[in-house]
Amino acid sequence: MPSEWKVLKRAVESLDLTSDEFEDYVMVITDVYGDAIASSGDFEDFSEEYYDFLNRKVFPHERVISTLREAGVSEEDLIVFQDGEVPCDDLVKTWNKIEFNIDELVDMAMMLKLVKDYSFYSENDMIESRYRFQKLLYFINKYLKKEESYTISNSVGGELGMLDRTGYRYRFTRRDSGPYSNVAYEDKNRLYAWSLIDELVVSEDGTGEVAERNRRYGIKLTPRGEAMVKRVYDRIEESDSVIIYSWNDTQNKVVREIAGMSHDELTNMVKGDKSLLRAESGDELLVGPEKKFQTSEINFVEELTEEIAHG
Amino acid sequence: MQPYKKLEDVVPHEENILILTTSDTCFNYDFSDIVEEIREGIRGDKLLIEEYYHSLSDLSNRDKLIQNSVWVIHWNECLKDDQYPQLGFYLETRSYPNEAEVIICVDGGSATVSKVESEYPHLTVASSKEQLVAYSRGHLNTANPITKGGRKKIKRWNEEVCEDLGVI
Repeated sequence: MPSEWKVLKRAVESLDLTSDEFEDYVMVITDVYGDAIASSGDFEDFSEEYYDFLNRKVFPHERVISTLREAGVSEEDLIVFQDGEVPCDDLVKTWNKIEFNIDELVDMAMMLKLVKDYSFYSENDMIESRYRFQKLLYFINKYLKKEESYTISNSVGGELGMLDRTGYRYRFTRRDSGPYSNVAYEDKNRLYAWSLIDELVVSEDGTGEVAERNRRYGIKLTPRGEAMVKRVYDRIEESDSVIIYSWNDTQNKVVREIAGMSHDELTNMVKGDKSLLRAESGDELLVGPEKKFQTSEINFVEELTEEIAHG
Repeated sequence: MQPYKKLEDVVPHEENILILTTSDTCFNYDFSDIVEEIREGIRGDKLLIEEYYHSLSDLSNRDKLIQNSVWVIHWNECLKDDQYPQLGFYLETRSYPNEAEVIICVDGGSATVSKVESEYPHLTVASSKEQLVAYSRGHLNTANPITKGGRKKIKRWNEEVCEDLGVI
């Protein structure tokens, strides 16, 4: 995860400091941190090795302890800093839990399920390119738009069809490669950063996709990603929620349709898309629903947040 | 931006602090002075810091924005009244690199700060010049090429941005 240094400020969030005390603390600890980095920041990764460094060189530093003591922090709380036992890993996990809202979490879960289901049908056991990945997401939302939403109570349906209520929240614009979403690209990068998916160079021929002009990247689940999908897979497949069911059903149809296509066949499908034919470069093609779910509507929220937190 | 091919290529590293403001001041200080204070707290001589003021009329130029790993945004001038919806959209949809640090500067009371923190729970909110300086130093000393971990972090950020730009 980025911004690992923020654990320095999260370490005191439960200590009930005033804003002035908090400010004194962050100024002192970031200064101590800078010195410690310069003198003995010999860690290579930003997980356990880094947290160990913070607990040896930063949190117990006399300037930090003195600042906290002046702020009236109890001896019981101080000892955690003095002994270098600040639970950095737990602080980061807790933060990750609240950092992502339910819609973002469900998008990422459905994205992982997409990789798994597509890989099942693929000869190569993976989504063969970033180009294909982006187009799968686009056509899932596109097909949802074509579905009538009369199954949703109090919904009269409209030109967005089911996409008004479900599907990926991404906004697709026209690029040289066709429909493309920056946010989908960023979410994919998050899954990679959390070691839930892997991206392998499968060819020196690019696809023309953004970030795939000179090389082609296949996308597959890592063993950790497989384990995570396994825990939520059946909950999605057997969901009572109409909006999850509809999304998953459409996603499965698009997977089966596109998995057997060659790259050229998929390119032709993209080129034949009517929205694309009418659009100029940079134009908006399709916008997913901004807000979809309440926490109470998803019965696997707990598993999902727990898994993401461990990322 | 060009990709770093090897870890050693990261040294030295030049970094811009992207500043989005209409007044060039924040917390009653010139941004230039604030950046100078940030710079003074960067350890070693392998990280070169410059300030970069991007025109708010050119926010659609995302390719330019994402080449900066620290974004400093003056909330009162840019976000408070949704003055620049494109910027709000970038933040809402997290359309900035994973490894970037986005700091929102809020010139206001604690109630306003809390409101902004709850609106952007995934971003860093600074309510004083001191906090802005401390948070910027926290990020820049983490992604500092004086350590191997820092060099790896910078290389990862560079790869992510270069991929997004389509140069690798």
